[in-house]
Amino acid sequence: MFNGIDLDLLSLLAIIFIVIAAVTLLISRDWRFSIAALVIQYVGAYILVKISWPVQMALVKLIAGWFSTIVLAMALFGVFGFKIDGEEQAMRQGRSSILPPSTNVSGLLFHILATVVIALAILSVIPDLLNQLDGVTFEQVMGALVLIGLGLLHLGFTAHPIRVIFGLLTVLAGFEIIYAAVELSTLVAGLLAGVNLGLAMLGAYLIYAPSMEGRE
Amino acid sequence: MLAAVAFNGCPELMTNTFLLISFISMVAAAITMVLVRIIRPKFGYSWLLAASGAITAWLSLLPVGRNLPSKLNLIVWEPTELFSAPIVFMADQVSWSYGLALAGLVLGVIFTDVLRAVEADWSAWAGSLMLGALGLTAVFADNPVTLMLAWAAIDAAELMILLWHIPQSSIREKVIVSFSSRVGGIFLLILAEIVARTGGNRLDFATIQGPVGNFLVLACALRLGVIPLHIPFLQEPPIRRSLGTTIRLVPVASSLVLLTRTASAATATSGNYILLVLSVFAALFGSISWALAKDELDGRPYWIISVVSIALFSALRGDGTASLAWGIASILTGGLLFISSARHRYLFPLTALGLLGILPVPLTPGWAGIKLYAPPYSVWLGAIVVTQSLLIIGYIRHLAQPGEGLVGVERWVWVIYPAGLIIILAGYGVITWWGLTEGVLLTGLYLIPNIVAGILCIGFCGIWVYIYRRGFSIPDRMVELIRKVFSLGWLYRFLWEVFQTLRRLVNTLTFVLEGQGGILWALVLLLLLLALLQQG
Amino acid sequence: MSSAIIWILFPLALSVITLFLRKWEKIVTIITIIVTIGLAWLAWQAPMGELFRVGTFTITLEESYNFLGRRLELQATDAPALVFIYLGVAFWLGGSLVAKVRRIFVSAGLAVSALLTAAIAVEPFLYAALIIELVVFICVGLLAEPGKQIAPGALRFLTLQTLGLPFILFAGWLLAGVESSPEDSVRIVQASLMLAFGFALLLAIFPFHTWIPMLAEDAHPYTVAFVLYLLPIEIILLGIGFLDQYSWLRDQIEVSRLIQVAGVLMVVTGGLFAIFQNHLGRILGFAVILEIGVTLLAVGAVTKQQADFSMLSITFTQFLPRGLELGVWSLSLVVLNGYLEGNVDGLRFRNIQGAARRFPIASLCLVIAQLSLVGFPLLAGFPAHRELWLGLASVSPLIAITAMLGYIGMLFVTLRTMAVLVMGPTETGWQISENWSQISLLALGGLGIVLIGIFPQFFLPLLSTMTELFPNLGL
Repeated sequence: MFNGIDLDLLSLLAIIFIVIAAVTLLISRDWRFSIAALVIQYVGAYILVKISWPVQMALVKLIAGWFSTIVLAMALFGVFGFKIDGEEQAMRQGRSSILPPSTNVSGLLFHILATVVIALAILSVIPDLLNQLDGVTFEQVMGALVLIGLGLLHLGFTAHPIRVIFGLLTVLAGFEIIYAAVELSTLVAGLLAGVNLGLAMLGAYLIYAPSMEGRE
Repeated sequence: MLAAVAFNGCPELMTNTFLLISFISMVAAAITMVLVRIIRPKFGYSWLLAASGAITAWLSLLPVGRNLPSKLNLIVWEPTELFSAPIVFMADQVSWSYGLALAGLVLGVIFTDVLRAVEADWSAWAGSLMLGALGLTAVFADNPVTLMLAWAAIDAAELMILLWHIPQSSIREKVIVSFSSRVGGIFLLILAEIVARTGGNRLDFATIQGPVGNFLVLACALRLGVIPLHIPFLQEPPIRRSLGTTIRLVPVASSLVLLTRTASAATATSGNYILLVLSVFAALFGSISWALAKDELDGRPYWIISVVSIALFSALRGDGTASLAWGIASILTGGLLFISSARHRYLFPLTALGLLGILPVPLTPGWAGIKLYAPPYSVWLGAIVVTQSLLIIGYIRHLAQPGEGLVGVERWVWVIYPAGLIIILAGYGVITWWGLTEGVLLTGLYLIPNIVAGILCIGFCGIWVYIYRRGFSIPDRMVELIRKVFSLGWLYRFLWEVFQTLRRLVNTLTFVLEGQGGILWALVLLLLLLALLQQG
Repeated sequence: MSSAIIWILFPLALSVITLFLRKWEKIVTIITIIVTIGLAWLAWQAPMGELFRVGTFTITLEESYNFLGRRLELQATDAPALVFIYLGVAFWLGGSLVAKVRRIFVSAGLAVSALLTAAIAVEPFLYAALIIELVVFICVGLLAEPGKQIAPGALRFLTLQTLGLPFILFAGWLLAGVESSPEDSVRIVQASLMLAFGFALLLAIFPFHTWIPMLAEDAHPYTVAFVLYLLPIEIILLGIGFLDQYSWLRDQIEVSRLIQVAGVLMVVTGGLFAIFQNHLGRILGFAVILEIGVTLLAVGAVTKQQADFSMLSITFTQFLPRGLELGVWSLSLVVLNGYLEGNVDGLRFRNIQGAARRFPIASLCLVIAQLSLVGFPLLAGFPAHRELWLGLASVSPLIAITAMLGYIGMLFVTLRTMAVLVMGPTETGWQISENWSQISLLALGGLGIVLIGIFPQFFLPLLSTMTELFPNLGL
């Protein structure tokens, strides 16, 4: 199926990072794990973008991604804190580090099953995409599709603000990997970084907003 | 004469000027009354203001009839390459006849209101004048856009007046239903324009063609409450005779004018035939209810339904003159009776003269109306003869009922009140000789059938009188049953059930798509749609 | 001086300044309105690219401005669009004085207008998609009210708009490829599909329409109307930009069909779903969906060969009435919402029964706005709607009748609204409960709708010239 594909170690590592990050984001119940996953996700994305872009430009992706993560982490810390007060408290937003909705065992199983389905779908479309997109490598397509697929799945399951932001950041990161292979504009890189940061800041605001007061 | 000299041999300019004056005088009088009331609430000459506005309008319209046809461009919407329709008035025989009838009606209402000081006040006169002015805009409309604007204005004005005066929720609901059917008529007119455009044509009232004509007839029928048969609300507004008469008859006139114009496009299609049958049923139902009504005001909606159904029937058979005659009768013959609140032996002949609008007597407008009894013959024509006879009997019956007396009223009321009735009759006379000229003469290809129909009609009247004298009457339960069937309540209930079922379906779909997994469902639905489109 | 500084950077800077001055809400709003009207006036009067005299000063308004290696270009042909954007924002800011919106509305409005201008100015125009995404962020921030959980509709809005962005950017890349090798049919299909998906998400085309009614149900009516007015227009301009830029795209009959299918879907969704709604906010949402649908139908007609280019002009003339309609509609909802203070169910029919007797002005204006939106004669929406229907009839009778059906659905729900407003459980008399500022603004809006409906020639011609933004489309 994938004859002639030669994965170097770094790219393989990037894909592993990406898979771990995306799955963690999907099933994690604790915002700290989610934030850590985001950090790893952007490292993976950076490695894959670097295949097509010069290091300086690729670094923009990494820095913008990390900045976004920091913004979200600060907001989450400000609202949830580190303390976990037990299952009952965990369900209440603003009281614990566990992100609602909490997932129980059956929920976890369902998420894993859906992830497997997405993985199968990704494997089936990779050859076609490789044929159609000139200049894009297998690992870029693989990494991007994992992020897009699992990000979409994440978005499809939730209506919770912070989870939606995680999902969107994941999908965008996936898209940026492929797009980097075809578009080399500084303005686009800047604007996309702006979009990531904007999304993170919006996410931070959405986390804070319910606990704010008045008609600001 | 003076006017002719002033306009120096330019009859079109003269006609247009008078046309504008008639419209402006009504609007100006109405607005002045409102402004004066705001500045001086105890102003005592409102009636005089109203009467002078109405007289000016009516007198200005008289000379217009001598120089027909004439066009008046009012407003041009720009850029013209985008907005194709200017707002134009057109005075021809049809529009002028309806226009004069409307102006006469408003004047008659204001004049006869001197006897109804308790019921009518300045707001009723201002309302009548405003509605009259809007009615003139509608009847003189040269193109669909002008007509739509006028219809919309009339409907909005009527709606506001009724909602303002009616406190009961149940009747307000009926007001909205009535407004809805009128608005439906406007949208059918737009649909007619669309249909015309699909054939590469522009809808023009001068050259109405086949299928477009059907849409126009349907639009009129919907606005008139004929199809689906629809009696807007039986309980009349509080101001029953004065503003109530204008509110009832102005929208009717505004729709009848288009109906008369569509007569030229009448074709024998199956759709047409259905409309024809429905109009006959509506006419029959209306005439029976009219004849049996408690008094003329209770019977007013039925009078309108019945007479306009005959006008519709005539238009569908392609007889424009008969349609015009019946249309004018609905306004002037009906209007005359509805504003005649006083009963006095000296006044009786005046009100009775209104009958000439529906009686088959040569050289009267009623004769123009029976021109519809021409080949091709069908059983429906027989039903119309019966309808006409019932209308006549109903008119006589309501006329003969006792009403307010004129004892003790001031002497000037004795002058003004009959003058109001005489003005309507005079206007009717002018319309008969200038607008229905050919129809009223004892000539024509189908003179014998017309005479036979006339005799049959009188004969039926005789039968009804005989039956009535024998004490025969239709049982109340039967009348109720007929009303139930014709009011189409059963159809509306069925449609309501369909609506509820569809609502449940849409709600389910909404629940799925707007739920937490909505995005995934949307993607699934999109894939389904794409697959469907691919197959298509 | 560069025109981009005046119409993009200056309003952006001002939006930041007003953010810090939001404590003095009224004064800041009034000053901002004056500034935006001034910017609109300047766009109308100042000849871009030529010498412009202000008193003793002469300024040359340069058309081009370099930014991060790309150009922001504002030319004389953009003037109608600038007038439209800044007057539109001034109008919405004016309404905000009584709409009890958030204090940051002024700053957000200014930032949105600046970014929308940037979206028109940026070259290559493809990057407008990214700028629009930034506008979306501002809008979501505006919609999420402090002290409340964010409305699910706002999240859905953010999600779908953000998902649309990659498709548009990717389509742009594919389209550039098609230009260099026009015979590559596979790439043409890919590009078309990408564009279709992208715009389906951005323009809330069925089944991605759900965020509009959800948002309109839960969020502040005035803010929602502001977002639902400006954003779809900007996205449609972006879409038309694609058609203008790529000749092969507008020559493809399939593209035209696709746009028309999307339009029909939207019209049917908007009109028919509206019939079954019982919430005035949701009805507003479906009205917007309907309007987007009809605009798409008009754009689809333009792309077809030998089609009437005037359809595009008519579409643009609709923007002014639509703004007034949505503004008046939402302001009326704000007034009625005040009446329902504390009622968790919101603007549902059962809660506003008979409200017209206590709030006659708001109710009347609400009905006027709704009727105008369905193209009722005598009101602002009528001239353009009628011409659109007739134009569509020339292209395809079926499409014209479908469009009409959509509007008849909306008309039906308008009549239901009217009935609900005037029929109440208690039969009280008429009384005016609105305050003076509400009355004056609503009356002004209602009057505006009627005046435009009767005299469109004084108001709409300027908007029809927005076609100059797309010089290639008329060829």
